[in-house]
Formats: sequence, C-alpha cells, structure tokens
Amino acid sequence: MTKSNELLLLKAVSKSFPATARGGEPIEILDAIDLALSPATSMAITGKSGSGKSTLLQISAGLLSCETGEVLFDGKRLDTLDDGRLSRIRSTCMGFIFQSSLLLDDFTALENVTVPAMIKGLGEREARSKALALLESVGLGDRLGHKSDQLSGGERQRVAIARALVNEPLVLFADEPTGSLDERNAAIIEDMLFALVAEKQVALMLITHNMPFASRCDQVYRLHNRKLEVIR
Amino acid sequence: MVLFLARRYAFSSENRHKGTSVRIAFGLALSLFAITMVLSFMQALQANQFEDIRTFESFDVQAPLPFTDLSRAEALVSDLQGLSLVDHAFLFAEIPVLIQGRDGSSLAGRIRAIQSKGRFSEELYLYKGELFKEGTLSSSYLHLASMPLGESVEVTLLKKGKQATVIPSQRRMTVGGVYYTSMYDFDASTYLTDLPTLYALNGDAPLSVGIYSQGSSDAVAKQIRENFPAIEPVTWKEANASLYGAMQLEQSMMALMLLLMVAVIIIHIRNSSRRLLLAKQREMAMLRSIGLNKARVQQIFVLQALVVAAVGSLAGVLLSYAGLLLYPSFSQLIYRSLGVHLTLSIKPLDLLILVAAILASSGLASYVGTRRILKADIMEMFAHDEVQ
Repeated sequence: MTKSNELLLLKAVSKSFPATARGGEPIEILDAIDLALSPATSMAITGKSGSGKSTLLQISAGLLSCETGEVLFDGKRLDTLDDGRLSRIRSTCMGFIFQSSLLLDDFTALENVTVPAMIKGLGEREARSKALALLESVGLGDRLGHKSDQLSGGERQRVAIARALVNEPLVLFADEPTGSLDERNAAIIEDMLFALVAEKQVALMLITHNMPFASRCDQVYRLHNRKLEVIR
Repeated sequence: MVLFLARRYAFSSENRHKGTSVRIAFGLALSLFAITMVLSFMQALQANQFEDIRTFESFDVQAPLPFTDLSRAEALVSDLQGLSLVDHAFLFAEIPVLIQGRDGSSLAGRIRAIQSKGRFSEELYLYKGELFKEGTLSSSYLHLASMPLGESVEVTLLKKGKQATVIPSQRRMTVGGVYYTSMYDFDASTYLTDLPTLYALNGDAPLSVGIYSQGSSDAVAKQIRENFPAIEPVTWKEANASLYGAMQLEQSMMALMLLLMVAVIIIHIRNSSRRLLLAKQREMAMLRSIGLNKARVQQIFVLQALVVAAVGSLAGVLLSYAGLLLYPSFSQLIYRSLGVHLTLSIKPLDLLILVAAILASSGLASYVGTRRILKADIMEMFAHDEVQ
C-alpha cells in the first residue's frame, strides 16, 4: 500500500482513548493502520459514526497524537518535530476543513482567510488580496465583512474552504465538510471542493459517511472494527 | 500579526468577549482606585496627625520647669536656644478650666499661654480679632456660637486655697480672638492667652519649655539632658505614648488591609485571566490548526491580558487622580466627621509599583494559563466547552 514518494504515510498507527474518570476499559479506536496519500490525489475514508474516521484524520494531520505507529509527512515523522516546525508544516503544507466550519468567531470572513496567510508570513496587504480573490472564487465576494454568526452554514463552509486553500497547501484535510449542510448546499460544496482541489493540484483526505461523495475520490477506504478496508 | 490578533482579542468592538475584557478592566480600575485612595488617606491621616501633635499639642519636645519664675525661665530658654539641635525654644503654661458659654453651655478645656509662638502661630489660623492680647481669651472657631468675639464669658478654674488644697475660682474674661487649626481635638479643648494673663488667673500654674526642632526629637531630648541635667525633657512620642502606639497599630493594620486588598486583586486577576483564556480556548486551537505555533499563541494571549490590564490600570490611575481633584469638595465633610483637615496626595512611586504589580500578575496569570491550555493536543482543545 505504501510507496516511497508518498506525501502522507501512516505506519501501524494505533489510538485508544483513556477510560473515563468513572472507570471502565480504555476505548480502542484505531488498530495498526497503514495509509498512504500521494501528492495531488484524493482519498476518502468512510465508515459509521464513531468508527474513528475523524480521529484518523486528526492523527494524519498531527492535530492529535497516536500511541503507537508513525505518521510521516513529506518524509518527516510528525511526532519527532518540534512545535515550531510542525506549526510551519501546518501553515504552509496543510489545509483543514471541519464539519462545523470552526471559523474564528471574532473575525470577518475576509479576516478568517487573511489570518492564515499572515501567519505564513505574507504582509497584510498581500494576504488580504489573496483572501479576497479566493473568497470571490467561492462566491462570497459580497459577504467579506460578515462574521461567522452572520453567515449561513454553506457560506461558513465556503469560507473554511477558502481559508484552507489560501496558503496553497500540499494536502487538504476535510472532515465531513458537508455533514451539517442540506442537500443543495452539500452539492455546491462538494463541487467546489473537487474543482478547487483539481485546479490547485492539492491532495485531499476526505472523511465522509456519504458514499456518492466519497466515490468521487481516487481512493476510497472504509474504517471498520478499528481497521482500514480498501473499497477502491 | 501578534499585535493585530492581541488587540482584536482584547477590546475590539467585533470581539465576542469584549464584555469580559471590559468587566476585568473595570474591576482592576476600581481596585486600583480603592487601594490608591486608602493608601493616600492612610498616609495623610498619619502624617497629618503626627504633624498636628508636634505643632500644636506637644511640640517636638517639652520640659516642665521646677519653678515659675518668669525671668529665670526666660534665661533658661535663651540657653536652650543656643543648643545646636534646637530651632525654637519658648515658654508655655496651661491650666484646666470650665467655661460658661453665652448660650449657657459648659465647655471643659484648658487655657494655654505661650510666650513666643514660632511654628505654633505660623500654622494656626486667625479667624477674627486678635490672639494673645493681654487680658483676653481666644477661642476656637468650633465654639463661636457659645463664645462669640467680644463677648464676656465666665471662666471657672482651680486655685490653691488657704485652707483647702484647691478651691474653685471664677473670673469673667472677654473673647478677644477666634482661631482654628487643623487639629479638631486641640480646637475643641484649648483657649489661648498670654503668659501674664494666665499667671494673673493662677499664679501657681506650672511653667514648661516648648521646643521645635527639624531633627529627631529623641536627639534633641538627649542633647538637653546632657547639657541641662536638672531638666527632664519629654518628646512628643513620650507625651502621647498611648496615641502614638495606637497610631502605629493602626498603621500596621492598614498595611495588613492593603496587603489583603492586593491579594484580592491578584486573585481577581488570576480568576479573570483564567476565565478569559478558557473562553478563548477554541480560538487558540483554531489558531494552532492554521499554523500558529505555541509560543506565538502564548504571546497573543499574554499580550491581550496585558492590554486589558493596562487599560484597567490606566483607568484606575485616572480615577485616582480624579478622586484627588474632587477631594477638596468633600474635605469639609471629612473634617466634620473625623475632625482633621487631610491633604491627600498620591505618591507616583506607589502608583507605579501597584500598576507594575497588576501588569506582572496579569502577564504571569495569562502565561501560566495559556501554557497549561497549550499542553493539550489541538483536538483536545477544540473539545473543551467554552466558558462564557
């Protein structure tokens, strides 16, 4: 399954969550997962709710630590990197889209897209113009000054897509990006996501329980009983 | 970028938690104002009372004389004046009296006669008439209703009797002057006259020497003892030992109270910082997920806490100075209730120390708080509920 030129490589990754304070057994989520994602390809992970799909994505992106196994990004083990280097990789090589948008609530749509570019090191003016272009490309040119709570679910998700792509990442991690949207908005976001990923040649790791959505990816896996099964 | 985010997280009008920041800043401003005012009153009260005691009541040093011969006493005063530590030496005497006021009230007190007045008369204010005019009595402004200027009052005093040890004696005296000082107790109990008039009332009144000095009163007393062994000088602290002790106790209690207030502020800062940080935990996770490293996230939220603390401190400083400016409007109220004229002032160094303590506590509380929060994985930070 793994190749040497993979962008993202997971080797025997396992994860369990500790028992609750009231006692009980630790909950095993992932068991010796191997996974590889090549540049500019797309991968979907499907599975039932609670199967550990999101946990797998979070570990792959270095947002969550795993107990055993290795996560390599561009040949570097994420768990051995210091915070500065890991943050740099997140800033320059990774983009995130979460199910509930997770925008910076205190900031406008434009600022939400501008801030990651500024974190990457762009000047405010350059970051703003880049953010502006991206927001216009996702159809939010007239919603630039609106804050998170003034946007609809679909609009928030479009801001999240623009934010994820503003730093021209190598990989986009999308965790149920259409999970909280109605059918019409979900279809718009799906089309937009795949169009932008293709246009910008970004690798995509998509978590979804929506099979038609997943089937648009190059590779499709199903997480079942803590193991990854190849569907396509 | 750090500054931009810190400013946005502190007081921006678009900030969801602006209310929390405003409440924290307001709390800090009020606390700083309270501490500054207490400190200022405490210092003014202490300084004022000690100064008043030394100026009006006991002088820096006083020495009772074993004789009442005025010319001999004046020669001694002249010798004392020659001592290096003595700025001003003078004779004084006092006798207890009961005065029947014009309105029928009985006023218990003392008549004090002072020969040469120095700092005493410089600090004492003449309201009406003439002070130390031979044959007349001067009363304080407090007794203006019962002892109006120019009126004759009945003075009852005790004199040495021929058969009994002491006998009451009554005289009528005219009120020749009205004065006031910054010392309520002194004003309430003291009537002034000159030495010949006092000795005309009671030729057996004990005579004393009063001394003012710029130096230490203990050192003056020591110098007098060394040069004039027959005289037993008493410093103002010894003459008012119980009051001095009480004031020292009061000073300690006030210092303790101030410490408690500072402790309350620090706890307030710690709790509010924690509250503010918990409310921002999700935002911290978000910033981390879009590539901001822990150190910069920490910088942003420490800076944000410092901005809130600085605004609170600035408001507290302004409030304190505003209080100081408005104080003269209330000083009469203070005089009536406490009996002292207090001159408030704020020592910039005290204020600077307080502001520095507030800023340091805020920065530290925020540093420790963010450090603790940032130990968690990003997704664990996301998972925490927001505290509003």
